[in-house]
Amino acid sequence: MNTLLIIEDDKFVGDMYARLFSLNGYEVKRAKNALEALDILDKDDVLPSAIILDIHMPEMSGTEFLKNIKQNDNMKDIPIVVLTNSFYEEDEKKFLELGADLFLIKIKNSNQDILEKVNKVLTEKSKI
Amino acid sequence: MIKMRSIRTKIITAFLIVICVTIVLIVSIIIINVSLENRYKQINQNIIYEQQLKDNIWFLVEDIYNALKSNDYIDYDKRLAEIRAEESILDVQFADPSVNEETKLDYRSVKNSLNAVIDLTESTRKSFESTGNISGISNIFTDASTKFDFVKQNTTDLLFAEVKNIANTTQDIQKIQNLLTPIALIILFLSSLGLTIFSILFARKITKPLISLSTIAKGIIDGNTDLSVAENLLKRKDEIGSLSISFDAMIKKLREKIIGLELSSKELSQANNELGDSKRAITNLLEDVENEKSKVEETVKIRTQELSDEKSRLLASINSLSSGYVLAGMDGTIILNNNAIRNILEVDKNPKAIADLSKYFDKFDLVNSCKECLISNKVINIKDIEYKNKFLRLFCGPVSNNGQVIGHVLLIEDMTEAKILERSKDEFFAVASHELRTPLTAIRGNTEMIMGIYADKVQDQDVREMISDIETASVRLIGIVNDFLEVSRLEQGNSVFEKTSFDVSELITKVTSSIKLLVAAQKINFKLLRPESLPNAFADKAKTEQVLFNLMGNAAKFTKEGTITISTALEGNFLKIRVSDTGSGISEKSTSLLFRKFQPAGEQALARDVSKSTGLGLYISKIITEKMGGTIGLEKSQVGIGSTFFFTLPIAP
Repeated sequence: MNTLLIIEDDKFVGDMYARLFSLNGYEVKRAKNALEALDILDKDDVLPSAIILDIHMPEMSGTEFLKNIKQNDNMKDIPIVVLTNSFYEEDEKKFLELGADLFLIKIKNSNQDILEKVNKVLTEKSKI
Repeated sequence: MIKMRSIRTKIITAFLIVICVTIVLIVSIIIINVSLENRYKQINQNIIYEQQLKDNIWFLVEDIYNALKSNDYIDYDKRLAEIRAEESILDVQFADPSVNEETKLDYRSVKNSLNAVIDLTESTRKSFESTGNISGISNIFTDASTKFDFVKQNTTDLLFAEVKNIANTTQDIQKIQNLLTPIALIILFLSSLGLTIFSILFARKITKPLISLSTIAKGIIDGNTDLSVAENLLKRKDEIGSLSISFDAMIKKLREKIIGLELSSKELSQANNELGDSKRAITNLLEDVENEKSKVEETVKIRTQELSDEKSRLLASINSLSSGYVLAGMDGTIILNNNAIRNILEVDKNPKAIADLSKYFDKFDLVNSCKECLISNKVINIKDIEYKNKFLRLFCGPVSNNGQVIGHVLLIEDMTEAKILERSKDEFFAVASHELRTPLTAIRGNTEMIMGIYADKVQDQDVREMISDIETASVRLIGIVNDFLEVSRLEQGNSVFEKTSFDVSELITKVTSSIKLLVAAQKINFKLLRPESLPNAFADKAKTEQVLFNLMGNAAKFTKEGTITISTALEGNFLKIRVSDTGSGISEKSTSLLFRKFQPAGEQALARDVSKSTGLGLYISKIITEKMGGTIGLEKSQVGIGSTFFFTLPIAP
């Protein structure tokens, strides 16, 4: 079973995506912010199959979190899906360059789209 | 030159003759008188000499007697010398040719007697000196006395002769005077007569032609122009002749002049009439001009007042501007500035020249920008000039008069607050997008899941419809928010355009598929038309897709049933993509509102369609297309028949 770590500071959105992926066969772990996520990753023995990352969060931004992950040899290969409502168009390019596997604007993608795209990323990763 | 017998010469000659004759006459009378006078004197002198001689002879005898007695001959010698001198005078008189023979004989006699006396005294003296004897003295005296008597007689004769001479001479004078006086009188009378006659004749000769000329002159004055100078006058070779010729010439000239004058007079009269008319016309014109002048003066007064008002307004306006205002000449000398410029630049003194102003800026070359403005003759607008802790905006506009650039105007605006506001706006949009979109994401996501995964758990039809409405509304709200953000980004130039070369046909096929899915319920037939080969477009692919989606979406929205045709063609360096539909069409009055903010593409331009539109689609498409170097527009539209929209994209190089 694929495990997803969803990092989302908004409770309602977090709940929704947790439910979406749970209902579709994922084991979901949640973090309210990037620091909490790093804690979870530290403590857990098993790394998640992918991380769903929001950008604009308090404490630590998505950017810093991504840089941290990519600098960590254990975790740098975990697929990162950036799922955000960022206003800034340039963010997509920036995060893909930082090593994100997928950049999705929440509001422009239906749940079904998001599910399909995340599935696709995981399938491709598992092939490698 | 003709030698004239001058009247003046004639008169002078006549007078000269008379004067000469008179002078000759007078001189000859004087000469005659003088010679006679001399003669008189001479005779008188002779008489005196002869009288003296007679006395001396006597005294000589006495002297010799005394000398003999006293043996002193001084007196005797003296006397003898006197006698000899007088004797020589006698000789001279004798030699005088005018002396008549009778007198000459008397002279001879006197001389002989004289010589006899002298011989006697001399011989006496010699005899005395040789003998010292005076015995014969009485004889001597007797002899001497005799001889003396002769002398005396002879001298007396001579004196008589002289007196006779005087008488003769007096007679001569009388004769001459008797002769000369009538001659002189006659000559004088004749001269006077001649002169008088000459004068009368001459005067007549002069006055006659003068009177004739005068008559002619009077005639001419009276207006008789036919008169002419008599031939004989013209032939004369004196001053009168010359005067006549000149007069004649003058008359001829005058005649010509008079004829000319008469003609001129007629012309003048005519001209005078015309002048009168002209004068009246000019007077009228002058009155008009005067009226006009008053009007113009009044207008000028009003305009001057207006100008003055305008100037006051302008100055007040300039001073009330919150922007810094500077008016400078071609050489950069500042002519006018307001107080705001000092406040904005935080300086105390009014700048004198653009160069002074430029010194305040660290990172901006004001002088150069002004030069650029003057050279290009265009308004220059420079934003975001950093000045101390401010952001300034500069407008530099040329000032022209009759096409000649004469200076420039600078407007310096303090944009600091606007800049802060702009940033706040950006931040607001960023936050708003996040804060609005996040709950919307939850709403839509959850309703989507209810309607999908949990559909079987919602059995009640009303509840299902309510949830469906919530989803539809949330989707629309998401659309509105997205469009707002999009417009904001595009308007602020924050949108990133990544131009690439791509195949438009491929993109059309892709978008058509998406639209087909969306309008599957409608009976719409899609037609794609394209030439066999077509160059790639050079634009932002994602944004081109957005435009295409917007146009095709609109076409589908307003075509319940019919055909949507998407055609592509190469036009110059552009690809033209047309989207035609057979839908409801747009009326002419609504077409002008298309592509504006909040104007939907359909007929319900002003009445908002509550269903799906935000009215920003075409506006966004327009900005995007233009930013990519293309154009967008409505090609044609007719209510009930359909519309054709198009947009163009530059082809790949």
